[in-house]
Amino acid sequence: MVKITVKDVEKMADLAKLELSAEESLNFEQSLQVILEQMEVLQQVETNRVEPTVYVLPAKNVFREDQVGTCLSKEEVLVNAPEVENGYFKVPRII
Amino acid sequence: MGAELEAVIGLEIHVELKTKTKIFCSCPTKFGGEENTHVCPVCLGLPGALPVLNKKVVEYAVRAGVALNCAIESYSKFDRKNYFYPDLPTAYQISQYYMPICRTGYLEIEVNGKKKKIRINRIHLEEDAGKLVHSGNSITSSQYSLADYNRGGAGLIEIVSEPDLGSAEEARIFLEQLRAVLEYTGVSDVKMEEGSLRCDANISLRPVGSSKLGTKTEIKNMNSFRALERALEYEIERQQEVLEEGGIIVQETRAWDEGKGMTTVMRSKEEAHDYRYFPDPDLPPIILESEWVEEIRTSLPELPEARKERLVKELGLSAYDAGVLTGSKVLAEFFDETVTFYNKPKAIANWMMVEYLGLLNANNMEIDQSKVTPQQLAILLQVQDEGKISGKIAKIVFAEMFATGKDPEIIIKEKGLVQISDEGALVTVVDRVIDANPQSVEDFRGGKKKAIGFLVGQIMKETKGQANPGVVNKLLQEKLK
Repeated sequence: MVKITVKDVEKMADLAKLELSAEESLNFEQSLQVILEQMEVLQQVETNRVEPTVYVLPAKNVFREDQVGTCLSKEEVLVNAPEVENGYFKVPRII
Repeated sequence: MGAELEAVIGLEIHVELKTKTKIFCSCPTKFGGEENTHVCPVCLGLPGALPVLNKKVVEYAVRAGVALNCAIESYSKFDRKNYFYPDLPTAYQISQYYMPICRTGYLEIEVNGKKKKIRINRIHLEEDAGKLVHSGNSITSSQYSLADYNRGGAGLIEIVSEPDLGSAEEARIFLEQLRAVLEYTGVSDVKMEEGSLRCDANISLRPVGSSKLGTKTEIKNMNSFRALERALEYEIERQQEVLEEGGIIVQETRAWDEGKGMTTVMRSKEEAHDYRYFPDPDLPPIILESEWVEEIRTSLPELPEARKERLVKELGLSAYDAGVLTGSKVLAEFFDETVTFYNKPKAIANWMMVEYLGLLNANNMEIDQSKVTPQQLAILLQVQDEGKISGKIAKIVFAEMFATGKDPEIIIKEKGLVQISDEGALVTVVDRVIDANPQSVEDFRGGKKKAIGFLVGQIMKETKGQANPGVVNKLLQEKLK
């Protein structure tokens, strides 16, 4: 069975931009391991003749017509922006 | 080593769809508006907002798919591609990873007279990202960046080719042909310089005859057909040098620098599972009815290859001319329309290939930006045919038509450019030129038949090109007997 390591936890945290303490990482390592073990149980179910579930609701083809609607006003758009410059969202250094 | 290496190239092409609204919301796709004015809670990713798929986007993707000989999937759905970058307000891009809308197509191209099928792996739907403006010269030297989400959420198709392209030239020809097909289908403006057609390339080298792929690099930032070809030529050479010196290719993303003429490292390539794709729970699957697909298929216009063949077989054009004239839909339509007014396809083709494209290229224009109409070009050629103006004058008239959009007859009248075919009017000029050039006359009589050309030239000059060359020739022959 796949074994989750602290390194895996740290990588996932990094991809999700989460900062974890050493204690938290250890905690997640254990709880994720439990989840994987439960998945392992599910793996034993015979699913050869079952269609994969791609979408859980009975809905399909929910379309809209290609017609222009109303947009937000510029004030509304930027009202929650931490920083604004010339109508743009100002974001911190990227790299 | 010393084994000869061959290039293996595949392209990923993003095509902005020409819908009125974005893919998941009713904001307009019209660009150039004030920053952050074509946005709403959906494309800004505000909590609680729900995406609803634009039906036209689906239609256009299917349209592109059937034009590119793809299998249209009856069942497709959306996934979230997760990554943090400020051009995506949601921190994920809605795309189709597991079940794209089209698979396994192909496009036939012609390289040096040989036909070659380039396979298409898939076409999937996705949303575009916003636009970033960096405070410094480059992203790395910027203290901060500015985000405009007007383009964010616009509908795109991504076309992924198989690695069937063997050279930079083949890649360029494939992209040109693909652009033409997409333009004909009307799903996109496909303008590279405006970003409605964007192309990335994956490229690796391997020993000729080997079936194993080498390590590839991905090249970005190629903003024209020429840039694509140059960037790939550069990258082939770079990889060749690394391999010949016994080095290894690092899998990475490289950016083409047009000014420096080289590719430079952008970032080491992340792996697909780092994007943690998962099904988007907000968007139900697309289940395509075959009737709809067939309806779209039958509504396709004549595509470039078929059109080219028609021009060659039915109108007698050369394959080269037909290829150029059908390379863009607007050009092909202009040609076809001109033929309806003046039934000499070859003469029209010659004129369009030389005079018209020459002027368009010199002015950096597309034919749909030109003032000349097919009817006007037809009239010009007709008038020339009837002998009212010479070929030389026709060029002058055409330049004026191109500049002003005036009818050829009006220009001819206004500028007094009607060809002089009246022998009585020309005979005095002929006599004058003969008197003034005794040496040429003597040469001609002495057997140098070419000397007559000089005399004709002088007469044309005196008449400002208006003399009918046939009449001039006839008069000269008579006088010099």
